[in-house]
Amino acid sequence: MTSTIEYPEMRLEVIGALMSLSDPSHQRSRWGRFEEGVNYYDDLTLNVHILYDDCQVLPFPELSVPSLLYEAEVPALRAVGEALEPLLLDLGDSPDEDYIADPRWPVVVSAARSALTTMQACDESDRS
Amino acid sequence: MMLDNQLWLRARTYQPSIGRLTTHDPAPGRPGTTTFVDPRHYADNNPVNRFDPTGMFSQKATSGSRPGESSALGASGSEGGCGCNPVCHGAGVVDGVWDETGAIGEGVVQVATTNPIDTVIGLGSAVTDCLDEPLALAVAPVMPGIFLQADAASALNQGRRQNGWGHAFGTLLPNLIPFSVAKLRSATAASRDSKGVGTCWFDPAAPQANGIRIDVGIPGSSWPSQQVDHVVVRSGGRILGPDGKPIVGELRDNLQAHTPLSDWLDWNSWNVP
Repeated sequence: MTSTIEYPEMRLEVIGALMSLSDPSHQRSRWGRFEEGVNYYDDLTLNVHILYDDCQVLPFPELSVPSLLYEAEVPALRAVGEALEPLLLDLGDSPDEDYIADPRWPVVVSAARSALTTMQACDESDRS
Repeated sequence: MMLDNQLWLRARTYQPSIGRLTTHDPAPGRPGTTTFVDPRHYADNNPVNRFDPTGMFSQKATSGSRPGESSALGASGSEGGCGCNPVCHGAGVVDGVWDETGAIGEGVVQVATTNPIDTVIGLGSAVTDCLDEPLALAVAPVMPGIFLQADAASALNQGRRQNGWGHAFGTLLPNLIPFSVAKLRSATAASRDSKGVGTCWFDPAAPQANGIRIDVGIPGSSWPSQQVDHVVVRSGGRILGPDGKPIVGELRDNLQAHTPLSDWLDWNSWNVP
């Protein structure tokens, strides 16, 4: 695979968001926590911003090919949106804990994990 | 205008021989509209009651509002064509076509239609929607090329929309001149909440590369940079820090990349401090 990615830094943001969404342990321990002197923050809002607003790989991942995504990654990203959007519509500004506790949240985690695996595989293929 | 046997609809093209739009709507659809599901739809798949003069956003068809019809709206944008309070309109002339998509809540947005430098975006109180749609929008002919859309995190939070989160951005967009597209679109929606209330602007020619996200501050947030209105700037596919230089690493590792809006307003241009 030959890399056609135009904006690799934004792609890394997407990968970072998927990592966050795919790791329930990280979500419980880090989301919403601000630590004095630590230049790091993570929560669901940030990841929604990254995926929808900053990188715009959702809700139409196909529009991000080839600038941020490979064609092969589109279905996996689309699945993330399909899992996440109903929760966003239903839960709105509820605390992250409510999202995590929702019975549909594992589907989001699973979809994010699958998308992450797909993107990492494409990057690996690109390097080889 | 025909281009290569296709009808040019400003932001999109239409192929009459097959009766289809051949390009996607460059503006992501809003939740609750059919364009959100399928970007190939025209006018939210409701051409009888809506139309889309710019190819990017549908508008409710009212008497005199379609291109070619005599409009009841003056070029000054002083009167609303959908029957709502004139203050409710951020409407104006876009490329010579009256655009009343500016269905915005009274007190939410005020837009100067004559001088782009004076454009004011305010986030106010009640989100009263004169298009009977869940998302309040404002469109203005601010500057060719300034293109704002609803913050997705906010737009997706329609279920929790609340009134009364009074806030004002103040004069906001004097620095977004470099881009030349079609119009300004601003949205306020959802509540003042952890998912944020804000507005995104992007360059339609390179949406992933160039744009800004402006979020309303949450004074009670434990995250200091979220306590004030702040801006995330993307330029050339890189997120910029407050010094205008690309950050190293991810946004979550660079809290300073949430530039206070008050600082950003002093930048020399939208991406240069």
